[in-house]
Amino acid sequence: MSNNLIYTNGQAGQPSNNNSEADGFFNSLATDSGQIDQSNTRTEWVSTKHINWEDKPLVKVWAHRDNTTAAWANYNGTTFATVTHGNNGSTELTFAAYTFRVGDVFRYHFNFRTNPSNNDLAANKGLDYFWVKAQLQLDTGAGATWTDIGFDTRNSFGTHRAAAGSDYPCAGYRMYGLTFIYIPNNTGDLTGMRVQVRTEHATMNLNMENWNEQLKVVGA
Amino acid sequence: MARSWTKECFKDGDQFKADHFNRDADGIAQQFNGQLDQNNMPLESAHSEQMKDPVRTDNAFGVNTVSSYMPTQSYHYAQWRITNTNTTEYNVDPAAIYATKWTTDSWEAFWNLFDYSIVTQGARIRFESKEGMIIGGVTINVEQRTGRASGGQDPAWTKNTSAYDAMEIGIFCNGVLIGRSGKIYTGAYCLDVPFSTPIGTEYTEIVVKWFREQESFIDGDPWTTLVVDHGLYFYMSGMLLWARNQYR
Repeated sequence: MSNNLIYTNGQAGQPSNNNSEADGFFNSLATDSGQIDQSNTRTEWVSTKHINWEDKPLVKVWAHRDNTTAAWANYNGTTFATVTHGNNGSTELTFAAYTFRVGDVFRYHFNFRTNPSNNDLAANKGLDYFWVKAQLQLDTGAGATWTDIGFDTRNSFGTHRAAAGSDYPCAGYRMYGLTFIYIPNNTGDLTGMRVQVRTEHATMNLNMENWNEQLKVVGA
Repeated sequence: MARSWTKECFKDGDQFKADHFNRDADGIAQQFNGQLDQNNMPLESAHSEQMKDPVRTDNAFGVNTVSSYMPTQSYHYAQWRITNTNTTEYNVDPAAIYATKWTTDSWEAFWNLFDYSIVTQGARIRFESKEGMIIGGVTINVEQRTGRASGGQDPAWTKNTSAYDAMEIGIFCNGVLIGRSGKIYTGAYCLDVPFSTPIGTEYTEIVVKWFREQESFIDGDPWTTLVVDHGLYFYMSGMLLWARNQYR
């Protein structure tokens, strides 16, 4: 026999086995009680032991975009250009303005994969750098401006930069990543993020494959 | 488990009415479904410390650490940023990058500190931690290149040097190694190295150190004439060190 309530219902003196009414009530009560533990925030105020401060810092913004098609794109400009390839759009992702405050924490991460590069290092000696940088679109009162965060990350296609000597490529299938933190000292609006790349010389080709870009603003 | 009893007396024929159960359960249901935000909240279960705005500090302990102290956690970072995208052919310019040469600078046999007179910020952060965990990372541009030398048994023979040397980045929290990149070989790389460690309520310093092998020759044959000295250097051209202290 289960623990379900069995009672007699209806008219006095007449037995009945109609379980549905009381069972339904208590089942509903049990279900509601369970939901309160998880999703009803009011119960979290009851005791600090039940407040999930440790695991759930308030995430105010979580913007992210991925290129998952493994389709490669070639970047060989010597001035910074936005990484735009992918099945889900450009790395330039704009969104509804978040008004940040002093002390908010911007946590940005970007990673990408490179193809084996067919750069002719022997014919392009000493020209083997490429750079990747991240920008946020911030408006601190003078209009929305793409603003560098972190620093310009620097990688090479080869191993040797002198005029004499041999070189071998180090640009194979590699995953590169960068993580930047930014804590503003002012208020303003955050409206976007993007990644830009450039090569040292137009004859050098940066082949990029899949990438993942994400930005969180946390504060709690 | 659903309740299966009631305080009410049963009626004739061993009957219980639904109302009897409902009445008993009503008090319990009210507590679950409402009024918890006021009368039932124990004193000091939530206090102002848990709800205040983040507090930002800048350079509080002399190494240009920017911090944000929040109710449940704190974030800290410092970065060394130069304009390093202008380079001349054959050289690892610009001059502003951090370059150290083992034949003229004093290298430790293993972990080395960055020269803080050049790398004025980014290689270390200082903050007040609370008991809990620290997670963080360092994003850093490191670089070493192969050189060129002639000599050995045939002076006319030239070969690459340092092609098999490795470099490494280590992160130290209050003097203890808590993260390392593993061996990285010749080239320029941007590394993203994570770390984590338990931490107490204390004054905390996290420092990035570097290590580079010094001119190991695969055949043990020393060079006599240095043609290109790139193999003698270790370079760093940008760094951001950050940490998150999650309170216990």
